[in-house]
Amino acid sequence: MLVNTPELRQTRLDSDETPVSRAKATRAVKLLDKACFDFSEKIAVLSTITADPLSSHLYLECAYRGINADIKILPIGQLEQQAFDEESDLNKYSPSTVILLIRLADVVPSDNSGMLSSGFDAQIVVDRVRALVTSIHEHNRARIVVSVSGHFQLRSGILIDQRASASQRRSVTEVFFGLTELAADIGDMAVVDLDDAISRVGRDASNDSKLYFLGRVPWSHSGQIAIASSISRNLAAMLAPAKKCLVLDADNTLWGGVLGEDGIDGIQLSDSYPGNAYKSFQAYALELKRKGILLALASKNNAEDVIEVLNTHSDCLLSPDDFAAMRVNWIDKATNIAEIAKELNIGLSSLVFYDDNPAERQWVNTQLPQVHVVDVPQNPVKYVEALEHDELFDTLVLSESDLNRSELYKAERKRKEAAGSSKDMESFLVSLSMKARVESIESRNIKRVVQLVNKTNQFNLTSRRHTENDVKNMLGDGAIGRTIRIEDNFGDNGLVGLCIAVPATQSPDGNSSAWEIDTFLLSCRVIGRNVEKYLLADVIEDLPDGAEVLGRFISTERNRVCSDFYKDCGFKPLDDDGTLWQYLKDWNELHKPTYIERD
Amino acid sequence: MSEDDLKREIKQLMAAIFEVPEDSVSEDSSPDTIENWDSVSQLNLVAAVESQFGIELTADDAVDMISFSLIFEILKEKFTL
Repeated sequence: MLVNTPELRQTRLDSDETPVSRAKATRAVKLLDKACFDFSEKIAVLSTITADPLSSHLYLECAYRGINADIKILPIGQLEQQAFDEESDLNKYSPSTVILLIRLADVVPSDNSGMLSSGFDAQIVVDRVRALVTSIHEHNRARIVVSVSGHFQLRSGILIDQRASASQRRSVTEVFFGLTELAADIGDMAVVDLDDAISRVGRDASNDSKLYFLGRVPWSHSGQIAIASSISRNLAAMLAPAKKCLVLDADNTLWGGVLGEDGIDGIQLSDSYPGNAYKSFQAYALELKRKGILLALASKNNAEDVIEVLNTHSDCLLSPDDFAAMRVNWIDKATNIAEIAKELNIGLSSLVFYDDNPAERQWVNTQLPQVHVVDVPQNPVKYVEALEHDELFDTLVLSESDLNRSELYKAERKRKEAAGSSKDMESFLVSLSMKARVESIESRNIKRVVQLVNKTNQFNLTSRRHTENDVKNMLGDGAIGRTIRIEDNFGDNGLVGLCIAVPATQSPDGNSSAWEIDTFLLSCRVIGRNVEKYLLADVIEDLPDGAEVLGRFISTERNRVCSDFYKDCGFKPLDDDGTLWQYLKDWNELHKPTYIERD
Repeated sequence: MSEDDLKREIKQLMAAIFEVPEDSVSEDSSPDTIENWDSVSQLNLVAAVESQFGIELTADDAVDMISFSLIFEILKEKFTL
């Protein structure tokens, strides 16, 4: 990708494609501190054509992509000689990257004028490349960039038989296909279609016969730039991973106009100009998402308004589900973007920011220099080009996890949303699939029990700090001690709550089967899930019919969270302070939550 | 443009293409005096001259451009100075 390292980016923007300008840019880059570069590569070029003029172009194009390249052009037309000979210049150089530059007319049958013959055996080329790469790998741990030029040595259809012409083209295509299969097999190999690269400047502009006859260089100056650019781009894709997340603005980015002012019916998003440009940009974003790039939204708007557009506008292709994270609010975008990075658990340098507003872009660029800010053009018809231009999402090979990434984030977001929304609280709790195991306090767990008794502060009704002996004595005197373990979708939470109910020595009703809850607590890990109700209900189940239960709430600085616990369980207050509560088992008010199963 | 302007432009161009300081380029400059001036950079020079001056050189022009003074003579003719 084209890096946004300030010095490299500025050199690139200051230069045009004229020879003098490029030469000056090359000079400027050579003087830069090596720390500006992300990578250092020793690049050897094995070629069937004169590659020397490409050297300076390769150097500069690599630099623009953050690669400090040392380039060695090996003698022309010596592919096998250099690869097979242990003592060759290639092997002595010990490159980290080898570029195989192959003009098809030099390796398969062609006619006297240098044009490809009709329909040739593509396998010859593929086999030859395989042998070369195998040999190179015997002496070097190098990545390979096979760059092939074919179509431009095809005669145009009117000069020869159309079928012969078509079968030439097919053979060339078969070469590329065979090479990509070879690349999948060998790994660490890129296949570059140089004709596709040159098509950017066009057949006529890339042809300079003068240069060919003077120095056997097959391409014009601008053709050389296009080729060097494509080769460097592929090399960069092998070295640097693609950006992971595209953070999009909404107004004048995903649609024309400002939602807050124009309203959902006033924004431009349709199948006619200019709405179609925005729609097309949305479609492109969706394609990126399918390729494994995460989408995020950072917009200064009312969240409900934006959600309304995403959910209901008939020309809006993106829906809330397509975004792995959203920050739609009125705080500054740099803060929002930093939060997005944290939420998605990715580094800032993996983010790309796309916003039509230059002030926003400037702000994010100064606050978060690691985020790649795209130069968004004024006209939305160029939005997709602008995003493509910096080569930010180049991936040579898509993996399974790339294709599934968005789904994983969507599931995670849904889980988080459900947790936050109160009206879906019940379904969230159901979705946890909790299983509870209630056991007695005994020697096996007493240490953990005592630990919890002494350190739990929040959900602790009485905060009595008992020792192990205290607990043993209470149990010896007939107390009921119960612990609860909870397992859920996230795993086993362990022992998370306990209750010690002692036979009451006095009871206001004079009832002999009266119990007081001496200790009742819950680990903060499971607060808010009604696990406490399950535990208390279970304890009460074990009491004889007609039993009376007294509960005390001893208020501390830290335990306000459970002040209403007994009330919520159906207990009645016996005083005015909310410190003493009473429950009769026969009232049958307290039930175990349905979404917690017994383990 | 004047002859002096043309000379100055040629010097700037050569300095950029051959990656040498401008003041080291003189009217005596040739592949003998400039280290980076070889057959490869010659082709860059040809492309640069065409681009910079907006002209197309013939193959003969390109072959002849092997010293400062020759470059000057060829361009002088093109601009009929």
